[in-house]
Amino acid sequence: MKKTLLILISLMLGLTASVALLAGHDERGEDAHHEYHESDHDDDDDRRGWLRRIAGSSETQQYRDRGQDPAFGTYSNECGDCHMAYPPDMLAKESWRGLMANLEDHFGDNAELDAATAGEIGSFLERNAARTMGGARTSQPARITDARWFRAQHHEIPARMVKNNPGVKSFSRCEACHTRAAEGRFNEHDVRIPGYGYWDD
Amino acid sequence: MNKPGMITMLLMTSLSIASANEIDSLLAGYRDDGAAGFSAVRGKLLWTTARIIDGEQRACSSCHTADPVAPGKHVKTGKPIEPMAASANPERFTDMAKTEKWFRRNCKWTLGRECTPQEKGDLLTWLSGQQE
Repeated sequence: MKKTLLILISLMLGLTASVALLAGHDERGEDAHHEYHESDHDDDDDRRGWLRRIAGSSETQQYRDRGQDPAFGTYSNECGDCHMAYPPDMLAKESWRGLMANLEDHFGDNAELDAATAGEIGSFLERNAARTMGGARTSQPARITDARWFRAQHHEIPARMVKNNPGVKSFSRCEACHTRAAEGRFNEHDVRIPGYGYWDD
Repeated sequence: MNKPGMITMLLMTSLSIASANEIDSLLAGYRDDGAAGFSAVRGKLLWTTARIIDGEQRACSSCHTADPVAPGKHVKTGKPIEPMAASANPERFTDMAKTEKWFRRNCKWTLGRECTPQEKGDLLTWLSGQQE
């Protein structure tokens, strides 16, 4: 008797939870659509492509598109375990290929993955990599922070604000200063440097 | 006790049993691979012993601190690391594939080679015995 009751209650709880989840999913979908259009007007980020299409506009947009590319979840979980899952269009295809072939020495850390997971993430990154102008004319940097666009955007920032700043430590921690980095937004209006506050270019 | 309370208790009990089961199956696997008689004392020694690898002094405690109940911090990037002791972090050792993935990576970084089944069992025995 007691057992039957318990099973019944568990079933009801499960049903309620599923209905709530489904409702939540629909709402997020609509929000995402709305914010996506709105953001086209105020985003002065000069990079195009993946940022806008997948992570760019809002967390909700990211959520919606995550379902469309199942490899995005694998990428976020595996790589985001240690550092921000950087938007794939921050590096060229050749750079991602080199990086994924050398995970055993990942900038001094061992980040190796089983072959299936590495393959899934590698093709996701290459699918969404930065499009390079002029083909393979120039060699591609291994690090995002060595990319020309990155240096151009950050060259004025002194070491005391990043490397020697205990709240930041490295340019690789985008999210330390770019408060909306997790949503794929790197607009300078959203920059707050720990210990220094607003960054005025 | 009321019914919702009972259900919550049942759920929580079954979760903690699940993580204990994972540790047991990991240890059983290491025994199958030739390990025997796991020792928390050896596990602790392995955890705290530093080695020179690639010109750097490295130990498990470089990032995880000497106390597995305490949160750690990546020695280079400063990224916060949740405690390794299951008592302080119930998520630990609930996913066998994840446990093995990190043993493989971190043993290679720290020891310059993969850990033996004996070493992994000793470490797990020590880590799962640490109380907050």
